[in-house]
Amino acid sequence: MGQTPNLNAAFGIATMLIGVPTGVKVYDWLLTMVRGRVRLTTSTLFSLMFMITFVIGGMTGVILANPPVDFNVHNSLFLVAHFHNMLIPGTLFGMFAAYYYWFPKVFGFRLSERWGRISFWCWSFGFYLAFMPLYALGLMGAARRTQEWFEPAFEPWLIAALLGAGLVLLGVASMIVQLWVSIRDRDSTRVPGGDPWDGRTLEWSVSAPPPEYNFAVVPKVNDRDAFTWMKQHGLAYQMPAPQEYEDIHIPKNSVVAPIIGAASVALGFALTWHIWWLTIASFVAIWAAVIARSFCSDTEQRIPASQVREEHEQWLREVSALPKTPREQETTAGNLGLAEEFA
Amino acid sequence: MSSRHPGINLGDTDPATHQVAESVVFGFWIFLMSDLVLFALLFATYAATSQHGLAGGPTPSDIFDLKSPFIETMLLLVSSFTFGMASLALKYRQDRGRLLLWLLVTFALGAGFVAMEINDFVRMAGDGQTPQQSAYLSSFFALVGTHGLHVSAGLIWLVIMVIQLFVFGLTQQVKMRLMRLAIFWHMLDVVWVCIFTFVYLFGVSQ
Repeated sequence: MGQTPNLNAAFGIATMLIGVPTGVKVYDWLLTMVRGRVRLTTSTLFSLMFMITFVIGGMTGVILANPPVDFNVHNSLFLVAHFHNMLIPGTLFGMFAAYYYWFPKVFGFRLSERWGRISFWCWSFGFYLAFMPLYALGLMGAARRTQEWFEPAFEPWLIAALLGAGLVLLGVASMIVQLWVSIRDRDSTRVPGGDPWDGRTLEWSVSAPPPEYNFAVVPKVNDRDAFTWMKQHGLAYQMPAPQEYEDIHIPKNSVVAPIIGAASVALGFALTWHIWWLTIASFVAIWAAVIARSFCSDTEQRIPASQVREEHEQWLREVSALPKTPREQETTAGNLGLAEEFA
Repeated sequence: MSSRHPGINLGDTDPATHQVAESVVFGFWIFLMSDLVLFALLFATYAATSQHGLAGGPTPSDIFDLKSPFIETMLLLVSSFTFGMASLALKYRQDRGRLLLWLLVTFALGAGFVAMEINDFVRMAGDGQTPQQSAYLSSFFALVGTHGLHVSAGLIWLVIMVIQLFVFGLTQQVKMRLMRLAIFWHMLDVVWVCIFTFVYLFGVSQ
């Protein structure tokens, strides 16, 4: 930046220091796969692409940490390429991976693997094609936030970036198609067992979608990967003794949070576009909802132990009738959410 | 039962509520800290723009006289005292009467403060001293206005608590809400002391 040398030194050192914990995190992620049998499902593909692309973006960040270099590429498309290189794989790809992974847990059916892969390849190629040329353009002196260019040498790079943006758009479109196809075909991808991926942690030990109280009885944790430990010791899906069930207290359903959420969206929109009547209406709606809620004194419900027991036992009986799915077949129609023990 | 969280504790008179209040009041203190971060940012912006953001417009010593801010300060300080009396009534008295009385006195003082502040703002706008004039005046209205909005929100909260005192009576929930409103109110007083010192006293002395 065009600041004093002292300030440049402070920013340069701070920028380099960010690389240290970030590098540690990258090793953490890599080490979670060591000696594992990695299956290249959509979720894993996005995770892997996230790690690779994030490292490339991190390295251009280290370049930017050097004040003389930063002085030259400041406010250029090099910077734009760098932070998109961090944000798109670093945030978006990670969120996509989580979306594909936990979707069946939340909604009870799997997403279409085929359309997931199509979206993955569109996103990945599209991202590289769209943003790698921006590094070159930045080094050639193209400023960011420019509406019109008169430098012919920029043109091929800009066309490449445009094609990349088109591919990313196809990636977004295939995600929408995927959601539509998956909802349409949901009856053939249901996972009532709740454990379609041979999961290691406790959320996979309950039905999909989970009951509103999550766990029928509080699970006992013996190991870091508690559910894997249970499966290895033959303790998963065990019928608890009748006296282990207790009444469960949970909050009642309330419409207040959705009202606040919707009104907040309206408020942000109205403030951005100076729509004052909507600003006032949504602001009043938010606080009216909060105040109305404060007049509800009865906000909890009790689910009796007998009901919990009945639901849980019925689910366990259902699970005992399910076929076990080996990992190799986890994306096929036969996966009903009960994983085969993995040796 | 020992007194633990800051603010008035109900340990001696209502141990059951005190037990629940511990975590609730702690959570509210965390909220207050984040609110104070907001005010810290506004103070820092005000400090910078009052030196470098005048844009040829009025300086702090041009626009302030201490009469109105002093009366406002007194109103708010006394309202903190009356809320303290309300808290004591909440803790030691079984009847609602005295509690209601002190809450209403607090409301009147707070409403007087907000009315005087609005009057100040209208007078300034009449003299052409609007937020659009300079970065300095923008940050002045942002800082003092945010505090004024907080006090107004506190007034609405007070009204709702008075209504709830009639609807629910002195229940555990109503007690804990009043305890939180009390520390909110006192915090606004502390912020105002900073505004009075930093904006007004410091402003006229420059």
